[in-house]
Amino acid sequence: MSENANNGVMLKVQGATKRYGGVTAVSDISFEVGPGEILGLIGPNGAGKTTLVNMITGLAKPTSGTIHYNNTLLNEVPPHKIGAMGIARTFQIVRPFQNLTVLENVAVGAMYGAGGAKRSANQSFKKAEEVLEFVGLLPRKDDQADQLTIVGRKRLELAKALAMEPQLILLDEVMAGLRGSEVDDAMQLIRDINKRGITVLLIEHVMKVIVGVCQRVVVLDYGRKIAEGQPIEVMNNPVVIEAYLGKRFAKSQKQE
Amino acid sequence: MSNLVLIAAGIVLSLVASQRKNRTLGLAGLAGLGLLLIASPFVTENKATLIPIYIFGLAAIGWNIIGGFTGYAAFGQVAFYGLGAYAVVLFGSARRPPLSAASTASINDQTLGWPLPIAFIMAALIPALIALIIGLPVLRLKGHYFAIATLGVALAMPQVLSNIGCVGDERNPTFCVGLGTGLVMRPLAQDKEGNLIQLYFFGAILMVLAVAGLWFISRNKFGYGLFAIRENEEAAGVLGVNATLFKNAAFVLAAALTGVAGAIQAMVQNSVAPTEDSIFNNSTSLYVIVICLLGGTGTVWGPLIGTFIFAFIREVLEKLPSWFNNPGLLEWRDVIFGLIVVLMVLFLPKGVIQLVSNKGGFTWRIFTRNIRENSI
Repeated sequence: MSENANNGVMLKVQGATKRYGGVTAVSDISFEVGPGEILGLIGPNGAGKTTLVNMITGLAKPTSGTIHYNNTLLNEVPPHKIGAMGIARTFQIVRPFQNLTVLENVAVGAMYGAGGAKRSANQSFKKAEEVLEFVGLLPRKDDQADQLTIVGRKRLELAKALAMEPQLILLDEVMAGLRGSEVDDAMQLIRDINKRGITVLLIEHVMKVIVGVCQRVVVLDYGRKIAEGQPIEVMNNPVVIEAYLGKRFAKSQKQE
Repeated sequence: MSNLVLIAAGIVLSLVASQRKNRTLGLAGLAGLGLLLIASPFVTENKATLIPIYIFGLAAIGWNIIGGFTGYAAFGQVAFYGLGAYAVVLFGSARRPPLSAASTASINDQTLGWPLPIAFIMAALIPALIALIIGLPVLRLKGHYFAIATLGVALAMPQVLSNIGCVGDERNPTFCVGLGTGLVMRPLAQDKEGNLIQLYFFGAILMVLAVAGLWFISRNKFGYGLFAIRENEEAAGVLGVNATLFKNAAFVLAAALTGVAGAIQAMVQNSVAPTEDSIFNNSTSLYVIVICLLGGTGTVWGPLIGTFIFAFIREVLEKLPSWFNNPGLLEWRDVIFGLIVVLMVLFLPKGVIQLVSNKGGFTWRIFTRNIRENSI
């Protein structure tokens, strides 16, 4: 197995820091993702989660620190090459190709992702249909992407990423705006994706999801890593409670 | 037969060919278009006014690749139009015109004199090469910044050309390119009629090939890569589309087509000079965009439909003064033209092709709906 060469590490972030002028969005963050894992990445708004994902996918260059994927340094690699190397992502603020159909949107991922080089346009459309069936959007394949509801658009984001046939998928708040039963469906979807052998880095606000699907969680606050561990353990960590719900609430929790 | 009738037939047939509801009807439209293209020069009242239709059409199809498919609104296509014109004359028939009035009597005929097909290939290659050099920095800009940069390139191009002097020995140069001199083209055929027929078919065939090229691109991975860049460049990159490579390729392709269009224009007018009234008319940059807007930007058939509509409007405006027996109307030509363009863009922003939607046949609904929504 090639994993042996990586010592069981697929993605390795070491001391990643991103500064925008005087603002430090992400500060000295290190963590690892093993192959086959579902790792949660949580933190309050503005904690630096999306910046971190941007750095991993090449949309933002780390100011310092390194990011390795299967032992390849990603710092200077442009986004399209990272995509072809097998890392896919969704955007928190969805970015559908509005004037293309749902099927065409997904086909672009199939054409240019990790499995795209060997595929013709026609084969990519077939692959896209497969993926749409998997995420449950097949009935809407001929609709324009901008006709989808927000839930549909989130699914479309997911389908585009999956069509790339990634080894590692970064899901940036795919649950935001979903209702109870929809969240359950989406959680099952993430488990199914993982069962296909895809490693998942899940960025999420909804705690239920984190506890439900993640094996391990990394918590960010103000651009720093404040905790790491199993979901239940992390959620009872006073530092994490304080970051999420404020000092006063953390204190009252302790007194109880 | 009146050109107006031929052009109107072009509009109808290209609309019929573009609709996807009825395949047989589409093929019939295609056949009709072919017939129209072949028959036109023999039945027309004026061949000379038919050729510019294809020249603008070719350049508009070029613009559609970068502006329509890729979403980069290039505003200076005349730069490549002029380069192509220069290239074909330079390589195909580079005569050095008299340098001074005194030497008018003896035109120094030092032609490069390459065969015309090769000269035309140069008319595609040279603009393509320059587009690559310009595109690498300029395509880093987006939106109106990109538009302004390309406009700047177009304004600079004739200045650059006019400052390129003579190549070779100073007394007896191989050839000269210059504002003062310009270049003269040797006509294709002995008689004017034969010349026009050859140019007509050359332009028409190239335009048919260019539309076929658009169709091919729009159904291939390359085309979908361009569409993705147009819709959201960052998201396209994350999906694995090499945006830098693709948009440069699109820009280069557009420049090559525009260059060939310019080359045909150079053959029509038999000379080129880096001036507004010769080949570097900035309206050309605008016209290619207007054609695409009229027909339908970013579609396969849009530029062709737009080409015919554009020609139709111009032809009507040309004839207005004589119809109404009022020469003063000629001065209003550009005003009326501008007004029509504004109204079309306002009420049919996706072009006339919108009227033959994918699902149904011909429908005015989109048009009337747009009017209703805009009138409030």
